[in-house]
Amino acid sequence: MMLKKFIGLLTLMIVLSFSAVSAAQLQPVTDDLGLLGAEELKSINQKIKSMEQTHGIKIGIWFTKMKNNTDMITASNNFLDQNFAKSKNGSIVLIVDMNLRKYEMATNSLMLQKITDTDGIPFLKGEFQPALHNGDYYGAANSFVDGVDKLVSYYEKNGQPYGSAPDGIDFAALGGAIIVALLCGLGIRSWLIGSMSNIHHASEATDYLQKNSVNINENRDTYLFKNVTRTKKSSNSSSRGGGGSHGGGGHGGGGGSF
Amino acid sequence: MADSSVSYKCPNCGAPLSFLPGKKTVTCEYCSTEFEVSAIEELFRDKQDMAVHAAEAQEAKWETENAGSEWSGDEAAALHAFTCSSCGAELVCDENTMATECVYCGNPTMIPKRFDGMLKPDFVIPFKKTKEDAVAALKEFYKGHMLLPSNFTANNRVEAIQPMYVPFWLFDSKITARAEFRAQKIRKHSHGDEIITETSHYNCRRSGTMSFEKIPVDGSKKMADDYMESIEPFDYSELTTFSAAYLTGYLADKYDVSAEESAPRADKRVEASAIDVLQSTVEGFDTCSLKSSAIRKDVGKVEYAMVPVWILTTRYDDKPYTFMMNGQTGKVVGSLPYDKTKAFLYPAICSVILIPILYFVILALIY
Ligand SMILES: [Zn+2]
Ligand SMILES: [Zn+2]
Repeated sequence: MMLKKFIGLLTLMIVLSFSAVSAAQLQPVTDDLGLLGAEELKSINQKIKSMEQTHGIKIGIWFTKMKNNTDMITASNNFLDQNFAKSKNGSIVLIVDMNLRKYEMATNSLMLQKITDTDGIPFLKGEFQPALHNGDYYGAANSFVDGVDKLVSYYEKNGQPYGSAPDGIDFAALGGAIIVALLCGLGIRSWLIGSMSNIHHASEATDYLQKNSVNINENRDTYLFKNVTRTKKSSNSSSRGGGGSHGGGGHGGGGGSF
Repeated sequence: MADSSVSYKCPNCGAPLSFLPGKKTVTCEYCSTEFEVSAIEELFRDKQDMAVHAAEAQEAKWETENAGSEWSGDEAAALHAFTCSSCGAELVCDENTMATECVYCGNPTMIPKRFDGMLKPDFVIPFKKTKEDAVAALKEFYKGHMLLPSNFTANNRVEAIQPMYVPFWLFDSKITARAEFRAQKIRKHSHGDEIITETSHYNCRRSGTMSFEKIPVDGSKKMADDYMESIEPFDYSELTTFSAAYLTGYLADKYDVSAEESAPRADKRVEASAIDVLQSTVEGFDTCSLKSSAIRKDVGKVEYAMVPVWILTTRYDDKPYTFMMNGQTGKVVGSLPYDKTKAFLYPAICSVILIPILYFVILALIY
């Protein structure tokens, strides 16, 4: 019995010391609100850890309740910098605030090269936002992690982030470039040929006008009528933020509501 | 000019406008634009007025009869005339000068003939530039032309360098210019999700007087008009009263285009400049275009002058090339041949360099 108690105590101490360590070195997923089951938490943490191994990246997810006036951008940047900054190939975090039903992602500069604010972040939103909206938090976390996997794999395979210009030749752009270049060539040609002659007909006599002889004696503007045309404004309101604008410090990211 | 049945037309669409007596505004039935009746009436009064002035302007002529004067018997006796047996050019020189070959075609057979039928010029601009100046200026003129055939300078033979006094008519005019312009003010503002563009149309009437002095028009058929207009301007401060003494050592061309025949060239230039002057006073609008104009000469005086020109004829690839130099200012004008290969190659190189640049510019604009 004593042995059992001792082993139990020892286990407790080990667990406690582990949790002390884990307090210093956070698990990938922090669930303050118990939104995920213990099994789910374990499985998603395992999945992230194995992915961190393969890609040399760090991923953090935090389900929490934020104070009402929290700046989500700063919070997500700090969460990344304090817990997940040390990675070989880049880090990304996702904070889900159940208070205002908002989420925010942050990337560090290394990850920003792989997951851009213009294309990578919107792609991730599309991956996990539906599940988040439906209250499927485990599904959302999984989709987020899978999305990051896809984007980082894309970068590893193509050498450039998802959404940037493809490596192949864009024939439409090439055709346009050839046409414009040909027109420029023709323009240069006619300019060069034109420069071979300085013979021109004189069309006006301004050189011979006696400037002080000009006397304007009638100067009358009559209003005739007015035309009014109405055109719809083009709805060009999509906000495609430039890379690294996520509150400065080389961070990227983006967020939304669910 | 009495046009009693005035037919008013819509200034916007040109459809006939009919309006009820006593009303202040009228709306076009076709384009639904609303007008002030007073503005429409003013517009059409102006239009008729302009037609009257345009008719007057047509009638105003240049006083060409005072250009030039008769030679005295002694002066005429000291002058010789020659006709080119090949091209028919008639050249004049004084008794100390020999016309050995035709300035225009290079023909060496110049037939002496009795000097007659030429007015005595009022003015002359004396030659200031020498033959050496002309040769040097031509060499300078060749420089900086990228398409010039590489062997042009080496292989082109200067066949003739001839100084000549070219007859010019100098037109002085005092004019009354009238013009109507259509001008627009464009205002844009947004309202909700719409952009509203208001274009206000105005009729701008301008009239004014101005003077032009000594617009030069050459009176020689053999001298190409565009060459003679290209050697302008002259420095009129050196214009002096003509005397036959200035002809010594030079040939002079006899005018074969009268002042009346030359006048339209001066008229066209005066008209263009006068409209420019009036248009420059239409201010505060976003667009402005000429609707109608009438330029009337109040005074139109013509003088006859001799102007110094160096004619340089060169030959390259069996083709003659003529250059002219203003004998007073030294300005050289002419057309150089160009190398067909260079004219293809240089732009082609530019295009090839541009293709990748443009390709990436277009990509950057798309993505
Ligand atoms: Zn109308
Ligand atoms: Zn001849």
